[in-house]
Amino acid sequence: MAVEYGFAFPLPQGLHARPASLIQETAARFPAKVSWDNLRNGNSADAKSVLSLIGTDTQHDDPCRIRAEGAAERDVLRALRHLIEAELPEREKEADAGLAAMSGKAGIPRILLLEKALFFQGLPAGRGIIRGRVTVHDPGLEMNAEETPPGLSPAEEKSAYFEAAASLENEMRRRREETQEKTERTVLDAHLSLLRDPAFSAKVTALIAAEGISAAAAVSRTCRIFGDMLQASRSRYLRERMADIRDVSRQLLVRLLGTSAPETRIRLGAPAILVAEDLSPSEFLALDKSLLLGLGLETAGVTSHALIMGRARGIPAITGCPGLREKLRSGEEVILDGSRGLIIPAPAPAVGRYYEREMEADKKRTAARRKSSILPGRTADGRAVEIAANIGHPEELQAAWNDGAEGVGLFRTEWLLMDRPSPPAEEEQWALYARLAAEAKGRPVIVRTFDIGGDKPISFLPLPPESNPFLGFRGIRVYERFAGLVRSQLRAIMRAAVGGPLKIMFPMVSMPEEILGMKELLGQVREELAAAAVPHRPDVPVGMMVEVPSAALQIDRFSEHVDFFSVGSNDLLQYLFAADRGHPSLPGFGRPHHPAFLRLLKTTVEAAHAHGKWIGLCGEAAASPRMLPLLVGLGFDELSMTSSAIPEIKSRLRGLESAACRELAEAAVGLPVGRDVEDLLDAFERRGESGALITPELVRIGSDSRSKAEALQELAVMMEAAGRVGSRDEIEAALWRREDNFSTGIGFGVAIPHCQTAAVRSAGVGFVRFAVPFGWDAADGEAVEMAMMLVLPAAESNRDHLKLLARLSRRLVDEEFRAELRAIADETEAAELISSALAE
Amino acid sequence: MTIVGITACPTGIAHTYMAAERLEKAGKKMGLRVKIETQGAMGIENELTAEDIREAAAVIFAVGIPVRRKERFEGKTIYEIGVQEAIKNAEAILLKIQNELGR
Repeated sequence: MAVEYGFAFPLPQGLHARPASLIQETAARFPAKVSWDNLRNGNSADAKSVLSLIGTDTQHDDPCRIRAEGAAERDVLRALRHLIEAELPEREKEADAGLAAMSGKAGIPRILLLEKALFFQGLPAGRGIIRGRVTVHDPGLEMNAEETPPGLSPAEEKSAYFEAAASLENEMRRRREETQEKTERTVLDAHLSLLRDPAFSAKVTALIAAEGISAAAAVSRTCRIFGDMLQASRSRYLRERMADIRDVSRQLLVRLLGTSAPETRIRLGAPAILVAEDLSPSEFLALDKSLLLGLGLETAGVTSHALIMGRARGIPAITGCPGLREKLRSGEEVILDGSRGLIIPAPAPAVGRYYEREMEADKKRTAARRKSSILPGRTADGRAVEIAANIGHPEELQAAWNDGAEGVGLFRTEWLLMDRPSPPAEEEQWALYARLAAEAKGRPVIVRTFDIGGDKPISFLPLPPESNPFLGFRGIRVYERFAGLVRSQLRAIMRAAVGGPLKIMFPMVSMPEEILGMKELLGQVREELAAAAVPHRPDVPVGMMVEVPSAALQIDRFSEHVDFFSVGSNDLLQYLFAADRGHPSLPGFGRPHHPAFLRLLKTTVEAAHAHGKWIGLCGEAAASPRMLPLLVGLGFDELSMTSSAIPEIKSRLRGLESAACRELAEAAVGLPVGRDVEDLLDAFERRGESGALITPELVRIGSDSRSKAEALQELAVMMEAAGRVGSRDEIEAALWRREDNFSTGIGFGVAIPHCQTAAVRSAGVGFVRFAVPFGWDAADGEAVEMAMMLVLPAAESNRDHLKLLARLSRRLVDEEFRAELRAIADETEAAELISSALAE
Repeated sequence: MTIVGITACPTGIAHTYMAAERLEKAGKKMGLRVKIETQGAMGIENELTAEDIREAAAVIFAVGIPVRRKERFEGKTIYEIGVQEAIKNAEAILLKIQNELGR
């Protein structure tokens, strides 16, 4: 006799893969036959099959019925009832909490969470946003196998399938036993449950029996049938389940067919966002770039050559997003956000609108960058500071020049040695450096020789792993042992330098003897080249990195042997403070504005200049707008940075007076602790400000924002365009954190969003009046006509923040003031009105 | 006539000051001397002195949280209202107090 349990399905997201697998697990513990009926749509399922459960398309509140029949039927029903009523809602809450934890962080626009949008997150690998259709590049074994003809009778094909499934199951079990890794186990468990899913094998065997097709074709078809079913969903979990089904199907097919996937060429028929596992440089070059809108890659490194080339062409890209090929379908429309590393399938209208506005802001931002990129690297009083780029591939040159680089302060070469079985020949290196020299068009390029060590394994160099690679066998220290390799590099650079102003720079130098050894080698190379009458430039300038304190303290000694210096601030900091930069327990260590570090920089620069040597700096500190006045004041001749930072650094540099920077640096060096330098920098940053909290560019009358999300986006973009904030994403996230805490809708049709964060450079007030009032906290909430935003830098005392807010609040309850704000039509007048109100 | 009061909302950032502003403005309009102490995120501001309190005909607590240093008001007539109410109906509240005190 059967027993039944009727209920309304409790989960807001419907019956997706995760709850389905919990139901299946529970049902499978009991011998009774258990079925699931959805009474809304009449679908029925075997509750011991995840796929069949998902196939019932059960939505929130659907009337459902579970029937159990057979041994322990009451027990299974009781267990399932408990699961559905008590456990599932709890578990979903936990999962949602995981999602909510993402929401406070910059980098995921809140609109995606508000709209419950499906999105996949990888790593940003090419700035920019693009909306378009996807082309999934997939060798597509499971698709091709559909045509495999049957070689055997249906009964034999069936047993071939069962054999393949059993062998795969055995292997998965074995791997599951062996692995210690928790996530790997979870994945293997999911695959095992799929492999054993009765709905899957029932479908395969039914297809073999009914259509007389091969086992491979049946697996392929089954994969597609379930895949289509799952992929029509906007649920993240179902899409991930889809990846599992394909993965398992592929492994089955490899066993059935005994072959691997045939390589297929990537072809774009129409403008598309290409989604692929990885992309080789030749594949990238073979693509029709006029049709390539963007790239979504699964496993490519951010610095892979295809992505470097993509960035150079301004192609938005993300990578590090496993399973993307399975989660997206060719022809599907997505938004690819290469700046934040997101891909958003089937964007809802509100998400689409948000991103349209983002694209608009991007366009303006690019135009503004162009303007400052063409400025020469000079202070307001005309002192030249060369602003250069750090790059790793000639493909990056164009982007660097576009950003306004005046040279290359650091060209990394160690990647030439990675991911290959043998060292690059001199000719290969020569071709690369020659291209660099030619494309530099007269600008100086500093080529840093191979910076290798135990933390960067190279297959053909016997570098044993070290317990502390940063204090070990690395940089110039390995050159004696690998003299042949170094010789080939020096020869290639000297030959290539005929075509342009290349310079040689040695890494990780700590003692003059090391440089002497290299000078000797250079002399030999010069003689060899001259003897063989190979065209070369004998007097290529030779310099060294200053990244070890012992080098910084012997500049006078080194000056006898080298032509120039470049401070590697990242390593110099960590060696000076004996603290790993990324150490989670040492966040306050190794900050570049610390007086000890500044003191070391000061003596280093002074010593170099005393000996008539040029000195630059090529670490992260070079890209910091806050450090800029200090570095200028210390007297660096050059600052070299990631090229995207150049426009801003150049425009900042134009606003600095070199004498003021010198005074600042003098004062900072003499301070006792890092905190004092912070305060000094705060005061310095504020000194140049006009003091105006609001200017006409921070006012918008008749804004088309239609929701809180759009209003906060608009305000953050405005602040960024006015140069008051560093990362506008960070501001937007901070404003949202404040809203989460307590809504800033204060009544009277007014909202006062505000935040205080380190991303704010100078305090500002923004004002936006909306063309159409809207609910601030909910669509049907009290309508807001205008928003007055306040952003404050983290350094300012909380009190200033609160005082301004208090003053604003007092003014905003004044009906007359609000009436004026409502009536004012001119943005300049509005800025004046608010300015005077704040000053009262 | 002098009326003193305290405004304090849970976050102490906006509404505390909005309520204070409304009460002070309404008092001015009605020809009353109104002094409001704000107990917000910046602590106690515009603090009521012993003299202020002694001279006050009535005390308004427009608060959403407990009043700090409440003992100062022992023996006084206290009108306790919500912060929102003070923001929305400041004049009506002062009028009511005026009427109740019979002046």
